[in-house]
Amino acid sequence: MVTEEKRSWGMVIDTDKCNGCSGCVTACQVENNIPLNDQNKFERGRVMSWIRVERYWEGEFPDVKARFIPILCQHCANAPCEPVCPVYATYHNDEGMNIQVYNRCVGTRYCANGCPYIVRFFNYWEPAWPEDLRNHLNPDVTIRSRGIMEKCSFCVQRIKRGTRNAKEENRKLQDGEIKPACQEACSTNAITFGDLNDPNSEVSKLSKSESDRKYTLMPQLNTDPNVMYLATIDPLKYKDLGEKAKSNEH
Amino acid sequence: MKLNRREFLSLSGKSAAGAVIFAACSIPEKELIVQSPVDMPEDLVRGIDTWYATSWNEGASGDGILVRVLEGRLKKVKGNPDHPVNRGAARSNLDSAIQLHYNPDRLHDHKIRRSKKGVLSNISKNNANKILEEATSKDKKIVVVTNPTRSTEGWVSEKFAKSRGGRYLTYEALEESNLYEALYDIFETNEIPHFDIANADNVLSFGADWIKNWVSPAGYGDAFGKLRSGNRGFIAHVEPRFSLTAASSDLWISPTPGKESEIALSIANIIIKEKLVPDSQIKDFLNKFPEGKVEFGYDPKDVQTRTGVSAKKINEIAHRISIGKSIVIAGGSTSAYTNGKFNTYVAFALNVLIGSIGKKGGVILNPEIKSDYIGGEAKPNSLKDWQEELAQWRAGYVDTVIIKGVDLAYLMPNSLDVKGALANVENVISFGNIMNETLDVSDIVIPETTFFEEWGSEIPNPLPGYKTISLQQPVVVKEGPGASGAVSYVDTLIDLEPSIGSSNKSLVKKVFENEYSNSKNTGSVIAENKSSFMNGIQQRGGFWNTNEIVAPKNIRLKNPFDYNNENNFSEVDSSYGEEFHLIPFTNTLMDGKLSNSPWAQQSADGITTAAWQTWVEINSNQAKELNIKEGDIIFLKSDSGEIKCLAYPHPAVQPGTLCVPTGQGALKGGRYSSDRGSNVLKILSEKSDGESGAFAWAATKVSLKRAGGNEKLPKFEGTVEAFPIEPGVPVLVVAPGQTAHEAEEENHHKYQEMLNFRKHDEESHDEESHDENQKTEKGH
Amino acid sequence: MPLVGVGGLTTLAIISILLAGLMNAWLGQPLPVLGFEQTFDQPINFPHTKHAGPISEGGLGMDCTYCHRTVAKAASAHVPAVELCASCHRAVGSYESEDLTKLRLNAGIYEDQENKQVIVDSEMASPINWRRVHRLPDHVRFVHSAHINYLTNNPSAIENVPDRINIEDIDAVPASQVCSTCHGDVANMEKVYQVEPLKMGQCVNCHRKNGGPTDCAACHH
Repeated sequence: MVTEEKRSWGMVIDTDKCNGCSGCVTACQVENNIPLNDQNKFERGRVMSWIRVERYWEGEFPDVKARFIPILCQHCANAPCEPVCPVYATYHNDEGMNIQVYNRCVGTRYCANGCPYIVRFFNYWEPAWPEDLRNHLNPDVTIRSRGIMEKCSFCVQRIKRGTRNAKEENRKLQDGEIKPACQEACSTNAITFGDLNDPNSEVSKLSKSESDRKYTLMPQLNTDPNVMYLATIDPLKYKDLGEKAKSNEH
Repeated sequence: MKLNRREFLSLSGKSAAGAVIFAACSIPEKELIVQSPVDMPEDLVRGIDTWYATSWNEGASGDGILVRVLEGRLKKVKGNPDHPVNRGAARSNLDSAIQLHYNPDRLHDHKIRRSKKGVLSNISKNNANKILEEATSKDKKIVVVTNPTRSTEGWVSEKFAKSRGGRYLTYEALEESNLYEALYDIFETNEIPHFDIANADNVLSFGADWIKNWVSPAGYGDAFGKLRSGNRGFIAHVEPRFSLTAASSDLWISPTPGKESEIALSIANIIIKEKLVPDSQIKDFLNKFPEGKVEFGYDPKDVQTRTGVSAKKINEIAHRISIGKSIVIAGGSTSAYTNGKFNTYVAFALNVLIGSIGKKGGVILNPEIKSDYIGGEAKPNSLKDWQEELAQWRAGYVDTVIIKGVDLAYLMPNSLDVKGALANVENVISFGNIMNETLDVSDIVIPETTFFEEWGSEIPNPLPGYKTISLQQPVVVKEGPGASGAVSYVDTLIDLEPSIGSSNKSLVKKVFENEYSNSKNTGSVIAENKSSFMNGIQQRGGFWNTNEIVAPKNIRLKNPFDYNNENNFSEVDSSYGEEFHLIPFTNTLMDGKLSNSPWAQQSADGITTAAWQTWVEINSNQAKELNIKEGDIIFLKSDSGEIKCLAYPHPAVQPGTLCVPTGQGALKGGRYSSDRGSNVLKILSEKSDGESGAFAWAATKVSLKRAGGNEKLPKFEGTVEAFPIEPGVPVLVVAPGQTAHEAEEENHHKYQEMLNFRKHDEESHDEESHDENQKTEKGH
Repeated sequence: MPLVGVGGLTTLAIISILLAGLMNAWLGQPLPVLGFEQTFDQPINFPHTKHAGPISEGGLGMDCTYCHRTVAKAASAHVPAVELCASCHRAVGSYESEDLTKLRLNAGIYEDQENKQVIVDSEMASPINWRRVHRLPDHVRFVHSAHINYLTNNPSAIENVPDRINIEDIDAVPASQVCSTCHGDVANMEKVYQVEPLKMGQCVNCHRKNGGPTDCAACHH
C-alpha cells in the first residue's frame, strides 16, 4: 500500500549565517516541553537543550573572533547510540531519522555514553512547571518523566502531522511545509530542513550548490550524519590587519 | 494515588504486584469534561491549532507575529512571513512573552496603599475605579508615563494627559534619543530610515548591535541572512564592546570609548584623500565642515595613536565601503557618550559621502505616517527632560502620575532618586502584570492585560521603506486562564475620559477604517467594504502599502563641529579599586521586561553562555594581571552606586573596559526575577550629552574591587565537554573561494605542526587515504 | 518467609490477585470481579440503541458522525458538547424520564411557564462528567482521522461489521461504517462497553496486514 517514495530527512546548517542569537534554542524548548533549566541546573552542568549554540574563540584582542555553531542530534545513519540500547528504545526509522521511544527507555544511559556529539540528555529530575505555566505546554509532545533519555527528534510531531495532512488531503508533501521549530525561529535562515531524497527540495539544492563549503562533524568517526554544515567564510582569513601577527588557532 | 510508570517500575521490582491494581489509581476524575464542554464552536476542533496574526509588543519594533492557540491557550509564537518588517523572522526572545502571560506571579487583583508609609492591600475593581476617578479628576495635575510607542495607546495617553492639562512622557532605559536627534539634523525626519541591508554589499555599523538587539532585531536578522547569501556582503563593526554584531562581523574595530567619531572621520579622510568616491559626494559631505578639518585632522596614523585602532583596518573599511552598495548605521553606545550626538552625526554623515541615500541596498528614507488615532513618538524623552520632570515631582507640583509598562524605579539610576520623587506625588497609579519596583511604591496598582489579550495598532520602528501599520489583536480571551482580573490600560483611561472614544477596539478599528478610505484600492488588503477590509487586516496582521514612500532627496550636511562635543566620563573613587570604563548592554532579558520569563532567563548569552546572573566581562589577560578568576565576586562602584557581580574573563573585552548586562537585580519581582543578580542601570552616572541633553549611559566609569569570594557562575559552556582542540573543529572557516576540503587539509597540517608530530612533508603522506573519509555522499 | 509462615490462605489470596492482574493485562478489559465491571453506568445513561440503533429495531438510525463530528478531522472523535444534545432535547423527549431530566438540568433547558416557552440558557448549563470507556495509555498517540481516512477508502480492512450492514464490493464507505473495527456494534449497545482489547499487539497486527506504518514514532512521540 505504501506508494510514497522513501524520504530521508536531513538538515543543512550554514554557520556563516549563524549569529549566535540562540533563537533556535528557545524555540526548541518551547515546542518540545523541555524542562525549565533553572540556575541550579546551570551550576551543576545539567542544562538540557536539544539544540545548543557553541561559541569558539579564535585569536587575541583586538584580532579576536567568535565562531558560532548550532549542534543538535545529527541523526547519524551509522549511529553509535542505536546498537547499544538494551531495550531497543532508540532505532533508525526508514525515513532516515534516529527515533527515541520514550516509553521503552529504562534509563541505562548507554546511548549517551556512545554519542560523540553529546546531544543526548537524561532526565535526572522529574520535570515540574508551576500550575499557571502548564498552560503553554505543547500537547503534541510527550512530557518525559524522570529516568528517560531524550534528544532532538527533528520535531517528529510536526513531521507526522504534516505527512498525515498530506495523505488525508490526497496530495504530495510540499518542500518547506514541515519546518522544525529551530528552522522556524532562525531569523537568518541558517537552518534548512527537508527531504534529502527529493532532488528539488531546498536542502538537497543547498547541499549541492554549496558543496564546496559542506562538511560534517567528526567525519573520522564514520557516523554518517544527516546534518551537514556549511563552513563560515572569512574574507580576511589570510589578511593581517593588526599590529600583532596572525594569532594561533584556539 | 498518583503513580507514574517510573515509580511503578521501581516498586514492582520490590513487590511484584500486577499493573492494573495501580493503573486504576491515576485516572483523573473529571477527564472528559474538558473534551465535552457545554458549548463548542463547530470549527474549533480539539487538538487542532489555530494561528492568529498579531504584533509583538514588548518592544516598539512592531514585528508581525503568528500565535498558535490550542483550545484557547497560547502555545507558540513565530514570525509572520507576510509582514514587511520582519518577513517571518523572529527575535530570539519572542516566545518568552507567553511566559509573562501565564506567569504564576501574575497580578490578579487591584491593590491600594492607603498612605505613603502603608502597605499594598487588595481592593475590589469597583472601589479602585472610584479612587481612580478622584485621583484623575479635571483639577488634578497629571503626568502619564509609558514606553516610547507610536500606537493607539500612545494617542490615548496623549489625549488623556492633554485633557487634564498635563504632560505625556516616555522613558527608555538605554535611551537612543541622540539617534533621533542626529537623524533629524541630517535627514530632517523623525523616522529612522530603512536600512536596506538585505540588498547591500557592505554594512558598516557604529555601536548599533543590529544583529541582536537594536531597534528591530527580527527584521535585521532576516536582512543579515540575505546579506550573507548569494553575493556575500561584508560587515564591519565599530564598538568598544564585543557584541553579537561584532562577533558576526567580518572586521571588528574596538576604539577607546567615545572615540568612534575619530574612526568615522578617519574613514572619511581616506575616502576624500584618495578620491574613492565622486567629487559631488565629497562636496555634499564637506558642505559646511570647517575647511581642512577632516582632511588634515584625522589621518589614520594619528587616529591609530589616539584610539588604539590599527590604521590598516581603517584603510580596509574605507576601501570596501566606497565600492558597491554600502550602508553606515550608528546607534547604541556610540550615541551614548557626552559627545554622543556628534559621534552619531558623523557616522551617519558617511552615508552622504558614499552616496547610499535613497538607493537600493542603501539608506531609504521612510514616510512620516499621520493617522488620526495613532500618537506618541519613537524618540524617548531625554535625560534632561526627565531631570526637569522629576524636579517637578519632588517639589510636589504634580498630583497624579500614571505609569504604564515601564518600571521607572528599576530603570533609573540611583542619583535620579525616582523613588524619592514618587513619594512626593500624591497619587501614583501604576499598571503592570507582575510586581516590580515601581508597583511596589505606587498608591494604586492595576493588574494589566498583556498584548496577547488586547487590541492595538502600531507604527513599526523602523518602517520598511513604505507605510506600514501593524495590527495587534487579542488571541486569547480576556479573563482566560492565568489572566483573571486584568484590565485594559486604554479602556481604563477611556472610562475616566469618555470623550477620547468608546473603547480600545473601536479606536483600533477606526485606524484601519481610515486606511480603507485613504488607500484607494492599493495596499495589503483590498476589499469592497469596511468590514471585509477589517477581516482582511485581521488575517494579514496589518496594513501596508508599498506605494506610499518618500522620494529620495539630496542631503547636504551641516557642521557638526559646532556641537558641544566634549568627551568626558564620570568621576571614580580611585581608592576603592582600579578604574574601568563601564559598558552596560541589553541581551535576551531586554531592560528587564522579560526577566520574569524562565525561558528568557535560561537563554544562554551568545558570547559568555551565562544565564540567570549578572556577570562582568573583563579581558582575560587583564584578569590574570589582576588575579581575577571566573566566578570571583566583584564590586563595581560608580558615583551613583555600587553593585556586585561575578567575573567572566574572556579574550574579546577591550582592556580597560568592563561589560555588564542589564535585566537582573530586581528588588521586587516575580519568583524568576527577584533575588538574583544586580541592576547595572542603577549605577549609571547621570552624565548627559553636551549638545542634546540625552543620557550618556556609556560615560560611566567604575572602580573595581574584589570581594574575595568565588561563586559558581551559571553558564552553559563547560556543560558539554569541549571537542578536541583542533583547528577548524567544529567550526570550519574558509576564505572566499576556498573549499571546505582545502581548509580541512590546511587545518590538519597546522594541527600536526602544533603537536610537533612532524613537519608537513609532501612525500610522507598518502593523499588517497585522506580523501576516503572526506567524501561522504548523502541519500540512502 | 512470612508468606509461608502465615498460611496457605494468604498465599492463595496473593496468587489470585496476581492472576487477576495478569489476566486483565492480557485481555485488556477488567474482569467482572472485585468491583471491576466491564460495563458501567454513566452519569446520564445515554442509550446508543435509541439514537443510533437501526430504524427497524426502534432506533433513530442516526449516523455516528452526527455527534462524534471530528472523527475524520482530528485525533479524537470528540464526545459532543452538551449543546448538541440540547439542540434536539429542548423539544423532544418525555418529562418523566430520569435521564432526560438530568440532561435538561445539565443543558440549562427549562420551561418558562409564563411565556409558555422552553428556554435553553447556557449560563446555567454545565458539562456532563462522562466516564471514559475506551482508554489508551498516555504514551500512545492514536489519531482517529488517519484511520478513518484509510478505512473509508479500503473497506476490506474493516472488521466486526454488524450483519445488517453490507459493505461487500464497495469502494468507499461513509465514516460511520468503519467504527465497528475497534468499537464493535455500538449502535446496538445500551451501555457502551469495550469489545476489543486494543492492546499494541492488535494495532501492530492490523498495521502489518494493511501496510500501515510500523515505525515506533508513528504512535509514540
